[in-house]
Amino acid sequence: MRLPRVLTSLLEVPTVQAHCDLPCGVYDPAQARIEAESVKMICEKVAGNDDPDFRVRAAIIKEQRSELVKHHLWVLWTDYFKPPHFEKYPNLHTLFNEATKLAGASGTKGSFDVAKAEELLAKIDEIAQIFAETKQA
Amino acid sequence: MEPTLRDGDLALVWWGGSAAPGRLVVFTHPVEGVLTVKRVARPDPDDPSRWWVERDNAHVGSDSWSFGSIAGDAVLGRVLTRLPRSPRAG
Repeated sequence: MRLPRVLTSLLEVPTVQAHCDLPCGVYDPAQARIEAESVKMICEKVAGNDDPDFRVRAAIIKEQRSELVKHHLWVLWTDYFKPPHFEKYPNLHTLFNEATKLAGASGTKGSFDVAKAEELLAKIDEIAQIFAETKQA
Repeated sequence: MEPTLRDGDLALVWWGGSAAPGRLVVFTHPVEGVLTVKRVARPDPDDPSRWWVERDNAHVGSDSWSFGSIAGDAVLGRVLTRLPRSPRAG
């Protein structure tokens, strides 16, 4: 017996996605670098500004950007780099550890120190250098 | 959409049901084109014909904060309820 269309459509069970967070395979340390550049620029702008409202906003945005730096670095660390990379570049774990610390409370999150932001950028560049080498391999 | 919905859950959807703040809606994803479920937050302040949708699970995924508001006619239905989970399943 053929079911009326109304009934068959009731029995259809389509799949609905809740998120499109696919491992897309697109990775680039530039993402972390851009956020770190924002952090550095915020530190520089705050240095010449005594407006308390501006400083509060700057602090909030700097914390958010620092958190994004950590996020992007962690994505590279956990999703892009594979065990053979860590074998070939034994300092890679340490680099990520140091870079994410520089973006944390003991680094750019916790201060307006331009030098810390520059250290962070240099650390990201070291990771980017290794990243580029693994891309060529 | 955890904790509201988990992977593999079955939901009863009213196809043609309308969106309103607080409701879960099924819609066509504006970028990916796939059927998607999110919670309606509010009408888009810049265009009242569009809806701003958000996810319940802030940890993963995407929502209007990344893909923007969705067109009113992208909404295909409204989630009425989640069906009971099997007691054996996780």
